[in-house]
Amino acid sequence: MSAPLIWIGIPLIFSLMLFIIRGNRLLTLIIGGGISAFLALLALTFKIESVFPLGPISLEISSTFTILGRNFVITDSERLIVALLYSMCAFWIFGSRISGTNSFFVPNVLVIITLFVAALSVQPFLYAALIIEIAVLISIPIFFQRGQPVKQGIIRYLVFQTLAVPFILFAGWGFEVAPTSVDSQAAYYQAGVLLAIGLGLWLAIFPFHTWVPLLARDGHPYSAGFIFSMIPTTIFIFFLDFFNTFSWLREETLLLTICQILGIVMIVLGGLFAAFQRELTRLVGYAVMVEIGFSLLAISLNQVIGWQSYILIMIPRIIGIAICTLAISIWKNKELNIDFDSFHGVYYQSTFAVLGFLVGWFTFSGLPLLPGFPTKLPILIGLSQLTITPLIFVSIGLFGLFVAGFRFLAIIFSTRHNENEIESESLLQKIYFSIGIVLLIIMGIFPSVVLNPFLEILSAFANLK
Amino acid sequence: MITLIPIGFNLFAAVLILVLTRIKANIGRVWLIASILSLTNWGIILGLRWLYPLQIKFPDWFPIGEISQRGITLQLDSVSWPLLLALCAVQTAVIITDSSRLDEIPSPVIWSGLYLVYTVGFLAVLSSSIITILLVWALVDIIEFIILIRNVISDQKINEIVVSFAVKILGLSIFVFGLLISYEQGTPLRIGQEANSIGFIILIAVGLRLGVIPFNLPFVSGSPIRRGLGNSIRMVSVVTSMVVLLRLPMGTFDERVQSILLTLTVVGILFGAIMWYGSSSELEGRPYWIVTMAGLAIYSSINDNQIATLAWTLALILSGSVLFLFSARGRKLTVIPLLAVIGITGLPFTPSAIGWQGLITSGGIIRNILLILSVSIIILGYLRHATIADILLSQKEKWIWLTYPLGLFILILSQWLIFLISDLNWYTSGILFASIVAFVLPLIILFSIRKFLRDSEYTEFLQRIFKPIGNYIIKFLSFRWVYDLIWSFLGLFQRIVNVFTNILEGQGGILWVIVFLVMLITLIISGDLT
Repeated sequence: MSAPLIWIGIPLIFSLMLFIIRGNRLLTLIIGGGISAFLALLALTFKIESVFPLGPISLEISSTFTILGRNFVITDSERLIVALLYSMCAFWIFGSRISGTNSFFVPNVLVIITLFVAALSVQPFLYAALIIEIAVLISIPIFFQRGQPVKQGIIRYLVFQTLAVPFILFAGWGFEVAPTSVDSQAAYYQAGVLLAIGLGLWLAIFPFHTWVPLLARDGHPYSAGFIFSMIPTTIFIFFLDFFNTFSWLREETLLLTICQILGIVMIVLGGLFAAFQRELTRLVGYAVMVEIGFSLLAISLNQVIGWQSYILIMIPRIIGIAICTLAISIWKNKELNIDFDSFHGVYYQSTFAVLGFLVGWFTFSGLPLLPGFPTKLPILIGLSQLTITPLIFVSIGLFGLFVAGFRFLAIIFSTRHNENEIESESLLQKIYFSIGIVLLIIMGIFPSVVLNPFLEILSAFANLK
Repeated sequence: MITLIPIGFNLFAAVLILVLTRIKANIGRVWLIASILSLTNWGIILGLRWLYPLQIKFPDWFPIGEISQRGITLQLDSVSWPLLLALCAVQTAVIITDSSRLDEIPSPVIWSGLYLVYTVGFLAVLSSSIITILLVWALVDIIEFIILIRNVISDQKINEIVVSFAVKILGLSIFVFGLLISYEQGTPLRIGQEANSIGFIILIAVGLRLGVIPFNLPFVSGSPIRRGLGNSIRMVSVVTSMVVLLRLPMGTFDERVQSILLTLTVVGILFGAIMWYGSSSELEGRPYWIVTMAGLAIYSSINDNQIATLAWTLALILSGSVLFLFSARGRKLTVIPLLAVIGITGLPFTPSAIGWQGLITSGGIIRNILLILSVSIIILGYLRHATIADILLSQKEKWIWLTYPLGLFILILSQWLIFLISDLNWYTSGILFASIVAFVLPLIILFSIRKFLRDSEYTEFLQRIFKPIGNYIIKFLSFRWVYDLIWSFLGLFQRIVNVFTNILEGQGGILWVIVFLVMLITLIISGDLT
């Protein structure tokens, strides 16, 4: 028995099975969410490359699985990454119960996460680009809406993600031939630039960011939220692996400077666009831009505090995106126009969804008492120790997010339309949002207690500790 | 752990009141228990005077990095104890004087909420690390926002509440920015350490929260919330802001910067004082009272006089609360607010005497005159509002005749107790001429108004002249024109952003990206990047 077989093979088989029975939504959800949660739990408890006595027999989980000459390797230090991905998978699958996503969501999400695990474990890494592309292709059906054509945002998402693949492949090839090249330094640089463009396309870094707000607008909000949270998380871990493997990347000040500049551009643009945006769906897209910007800033610090923040910032981000997009999905399902003007007095009609959205939004904004604050502050402090100018721009971006939040606040409590529209939310919705809100608040009030265990993820990257 | 006793006690009281309300206990009994509990807590805090300094620390609030004082620290010392006692006195006074407003109280659960509000206030007062202050500020702002938004019904008021919340969060963000600058300068901000070069930023942060710099008034038209809860929220909010000025000495400013800051603050104080006097009632004027008195505290802080800052803060909370809770009146009862006035005048060997030392400085004679004038107007306004006829206490039940004055008196008693038993050594004659002028001048004016102007045919004429001038001054000093300018600029900026967004996210957006990609590839091929 090998680890890749357990965490890649088994969920692949299950997702295929779920695809067949996807008509039975509840069963699909229970099996899909259950298997994800089980795999996450397994990753947390079972040690790879250790022998487990099971009565008369003993079981050893090896780290490597070889197929067609390619290796899939999940080492013991990578268990936490696998656990994180599967626990988030379970979180998204269970959340889909009230989001109104289509029947493809559960099986496809399970297979996408499985493919992400495969992409992070495949060797040589060149194949990761292809596996991620397959995951992107599989993600398209989760945006399908009955009787509606595929919209611009979905097409653009597919185009940009696909465009990234040749750059990553060329970069991989460049890294392989660079040591034997006549001018190896130049080859490394060119490979590095290609890698940067590829990652830029994957991560929606400026100017390749345009698919984010468009996908938020045109796709199902919850499905878009899943893509916004899980693709960057996976790519960022993938990116971390590069930094861990190639020491010259860590020492290349030009690359770190580019990361910093792009991070600031993402934060400023995301914040400013959000401040003037009236569509809630696109608003979340801009918040995602700001979040990606913060991850880039964390990288640019090239210090332990930066790597740690880089990991910690992912956790509230995923929950924040989930809770915000879930709220939007519910409003969209009620055929509410997702424009600020339609939200007068919505607080009185869907209190929990509104509170969930606000808690998620102010988590992105970095409001103290919510987890966005303790996870972003170390990045800002790290940045301020270098120079103060970027901070001014970052503040502008965060200010933009706050402005958007306050504009929303002023509208939702308005009493203009709420006289005859008091409508209670279902118990399930209340439970879901309460869990999300409580999770974020606990993370914000006791960050040390809740977030500390996630730092173990860095143990997979020995050079970044 | 002793430091946590007042907080724990308040939480216990909140839970007990909640339980009593749930089991539908009689409102009178619930009030009695709430009063006794609050009074007991006041006694406990008074007793803590002889036990401080005390500190409790929860290290490593956040798992990573060398964040300055990253642990949660609560400290009871000579700075926090007076504020703690003052807050508890206001809590007690609110509950006890609620006896005269029992018929207005929708449910006794309001006292449970009141206890929670003050618990947060206690936390704020005891805060002794930067992270704690930031968290408590946010907590206070959020609680205030929730309580206010649940109690208003008009859209205009909702907008005001959101703007007020936004301004406070802006103040909080500016404080964080100041913290980051301190890191850039290599001297991370710590409690007790002089703020020096970032002192200006901290002042702006505190000023924004209080509405002093720039002169903004979140709630100029007052809130419809009743006296007790409204006053509690306001005072707790003020204390959380003032704690920063008391914990972070401003240090020395550049002379020119200091002069500008002092002048700006004086303008704010004078304007606030005039508006306070002109307000139709004490509740309408409460935002101006806060702005003006906080202005005096900030002015003292800029002059690096911490004890004066504390003295004005206490006057703001305690003397102010006497008037704001003075809902049932009577000729004999007027003596209570008159006693409270002593706490504002700064007459020799009174609680605010030392406050004058933070205001009157050797340079800036015009500022000194304006300050004396401002304090005179504040006192004048206080006396005016205290003597306006309202509901008579004699119309209430007889037991209230005893409890209600007692509730108000506890505020005055607390101010004097703090003055007499704290170890800050603030028995001083203060600035004699300033305090005497500030005290006598309003008395003369009040007497003259009552004697000559009340029924004069000129009153209306004078009002007709001064009202438009006043409105113009309000318009100018409220900086609405600045906000209009900012809105115009933002409108223009929004159009630019929209054009940019449409280009990138429109049908042709993908072409721009491809152009960009080709540019990059060309650069790589030409090897320029190497």
